[in-house]
Amino acid sequence: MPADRPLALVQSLQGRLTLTAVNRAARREGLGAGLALADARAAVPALATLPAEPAADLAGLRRLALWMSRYGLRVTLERPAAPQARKSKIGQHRAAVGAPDGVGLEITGVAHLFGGEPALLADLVRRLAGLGLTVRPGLADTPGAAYAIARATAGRHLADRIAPSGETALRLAPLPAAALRLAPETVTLLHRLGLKTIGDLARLPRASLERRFNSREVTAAVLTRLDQALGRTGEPAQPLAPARRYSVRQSFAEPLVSSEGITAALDDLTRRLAASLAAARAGARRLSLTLYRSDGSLVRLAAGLSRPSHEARHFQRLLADKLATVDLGFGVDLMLLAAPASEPLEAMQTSLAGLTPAGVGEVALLIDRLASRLGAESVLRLAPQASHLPEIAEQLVPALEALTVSQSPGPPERLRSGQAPEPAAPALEPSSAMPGRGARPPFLLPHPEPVAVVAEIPDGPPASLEWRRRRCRIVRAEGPERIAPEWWQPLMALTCRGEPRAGAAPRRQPRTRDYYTIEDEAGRRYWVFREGLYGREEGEAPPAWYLHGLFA
Amino acid sequence: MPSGSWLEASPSVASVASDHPSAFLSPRVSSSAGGGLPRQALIDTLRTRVEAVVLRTDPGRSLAPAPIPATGERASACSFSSSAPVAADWTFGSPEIDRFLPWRGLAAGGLHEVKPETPADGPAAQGLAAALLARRLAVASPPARPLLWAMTWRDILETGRPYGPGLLSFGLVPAQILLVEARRDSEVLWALEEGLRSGALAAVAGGVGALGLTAARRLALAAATYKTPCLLVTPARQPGVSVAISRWRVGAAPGSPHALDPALPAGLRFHLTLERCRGREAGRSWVVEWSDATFRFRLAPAVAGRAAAAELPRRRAG
Repeated sequence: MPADRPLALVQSLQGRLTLTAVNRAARREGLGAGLALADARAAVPALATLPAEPAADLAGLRRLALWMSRYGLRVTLERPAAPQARKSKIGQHRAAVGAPDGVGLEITGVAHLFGGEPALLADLVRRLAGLGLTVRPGLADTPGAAYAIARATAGRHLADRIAPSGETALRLAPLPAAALRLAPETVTLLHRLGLKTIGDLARLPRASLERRFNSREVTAAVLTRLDQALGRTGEPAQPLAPARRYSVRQSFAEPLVSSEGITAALDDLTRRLAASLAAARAGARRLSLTLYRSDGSLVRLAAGLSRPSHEARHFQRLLADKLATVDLGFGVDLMLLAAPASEPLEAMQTSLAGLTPAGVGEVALLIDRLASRLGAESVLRLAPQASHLPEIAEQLVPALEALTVSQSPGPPERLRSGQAPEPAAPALEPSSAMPGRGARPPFLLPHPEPVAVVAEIPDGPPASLEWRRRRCRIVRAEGPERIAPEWWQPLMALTCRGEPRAGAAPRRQPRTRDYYTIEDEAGRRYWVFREGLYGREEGEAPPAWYLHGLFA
Repeated sequence: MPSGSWLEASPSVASVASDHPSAFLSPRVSSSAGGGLPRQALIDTLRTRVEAVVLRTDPGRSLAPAPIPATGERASACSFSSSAPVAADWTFGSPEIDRFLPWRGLAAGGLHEVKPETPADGPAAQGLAAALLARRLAVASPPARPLLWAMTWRDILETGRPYGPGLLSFGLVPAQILLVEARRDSEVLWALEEGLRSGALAAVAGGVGALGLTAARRLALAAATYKTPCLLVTPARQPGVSVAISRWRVGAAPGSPHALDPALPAGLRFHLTLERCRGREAGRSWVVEWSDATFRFRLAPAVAGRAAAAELPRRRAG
């Protein structure tokens, strides 16, 4: 669409189509946001329209704001009118004016890194122009003043848009009162009272304002905004990304395209981050590395740590893996490494030789590396759980979340000495030495598999078994060990692979299981069970046999 | 050429291989392509024969420190003529087998391969691996070091995943197991090598389908460098890994009858064949029984052993 044709975005607001944004050509024709589409069409018949997409706009603005965090860490989304101003007695709601339409950036103590405020602003404008965006910047002592300058200053010169420190009131005085982030109704009211500029308002005695407005709320809104703009009261800001306590950055004069350069920079960043963490006696639990590419896009890499750490080598190895797969594009001009989640790191007792006990750090590093490459759900620990059902008695937990591998008790004492056979190892786990419990297989299938079994009814052990199309004769058997469904648990249906009766009710009542340890003539040992008892639980389907585990 | 130095997989070759991590991500599968299989087997048998010849003809061998000069503990353990028992890092617990092995047990710093006799013996191979790992954890120093067990999803569906309550009866403490569930063989190999290189584990174990020579050599090198044993469970019909220090062929053997009731299953028995062992003539086989009470292997009584051996050919034919 040619840029010189009037274009407007329209949205249905309270039953009528309203313009929400116009391009420059349309503004020259006298159109503006807030106008009804019918009126606009009457004035400019050639007006082209497109539906507005507020959600996409907001997402884009958010992305832009995140991009701006390269200049400073506190980035906010600017909203034109505050809620208390919209609660005026005039009561005409205009939802559109509440949506964010700008980005605020705190650059206190930052500008000198870019060569001063004008240079920073010029850099910002140049980079945004490179992305195809026109920007109306404003720079002042307070967010309110910067807001007003950005929106109400006519001049395109950057010098006009920077209010030097202390000259805020002077610069604001000629600007229209609407620039103070006031609701349109309030602005209309001010106009009626002849208060057209911010200077008019500021000159007025504060006490007389309330009498003129005849409304405490409007007065409060106007005075608050005025004070905020002039820096008389503070203004709470909601930063988009929470300020990171531990973050280091490295910018490059020339975009970095070689992976060697990136690796070297990462080396430096990790060392600095580790030093700042160590100084605060904290350890990172999560790392995030942001690469700002010169074409305006950014890559964010994250890595989790199984235990807090402030070891640069650890960070470096975790991130280097991920960095290897990143497309550097046209080069990287800024790298930012942060620890968004950190924990106090307790001092660790080292042994006399200066070694950490039992390689705790190495195990943690190993877990982190495995999890960061294979996925946290692929690196698991076996955790016991109090249940009689075999598949629930053990739970697989990601090792990244619970690292107790190295704190586990050693192997049972009798194993260590290799003699003195005792009946059972006590104090290992509550369920392991449970008296009367049958044998458990060392390997459990993910799902019980249906098998064809010849067995005596009602509860004889299997005499022959056909599993995976292999038939074998059973020569020894032990059982049954009866495991009843846990009625106090929520209904858990048995999930089996290759369910033989697909048509049956998918979620049937769990039934009693009779487990047998059986051995075939070749010596292979299986753990099978019959689900359902003959005579008592035959309601929906006859009892069926499943293979659940393998011994050897 | 000085005798004895060639037995080690040439470190220079191995280090060249380790300089190319990309080779690890895509393990060579050329061995499964036509012609690779018999050749590899031929080389393996040739190598074992040459080893045997060298051992027999070299008179200084029994006095020489070791056939494998890489690690110190092996050097002391490998004086074959001495009958004094030397404490090894990793034993079967059965004096007959341990005495037969050149290191008075299994070498802790090396790659060991476990193969099922038939595809149906996969669980037996896993079971033997679990028992060996339990024995390793018991003697590893410092104690309470974890072990890494990497499996592909294919293997988990085939033989199931390690089950803590059952492993306890093998003497393995579930809390000490770090289980890696991988999607591909290459991920298992990567995890195993990472585990070895961390130097913080008592042992690593894993099951892989196809294994290229480069990948195997990398594992063997890492195992030797960090003195951590690596136990690989490989499919029955794949050719063996030539850089493995030992290769065991495992099959299930009829278990011992219960002392009180012969109809009840008691001790688990394995039919073990030492297919390859660096520094020893291969081909020896045993029938061993795993004891749940003492957590060690022992030779099955001779009668049971003969019965198992007699039964073996029939089972293979079936």
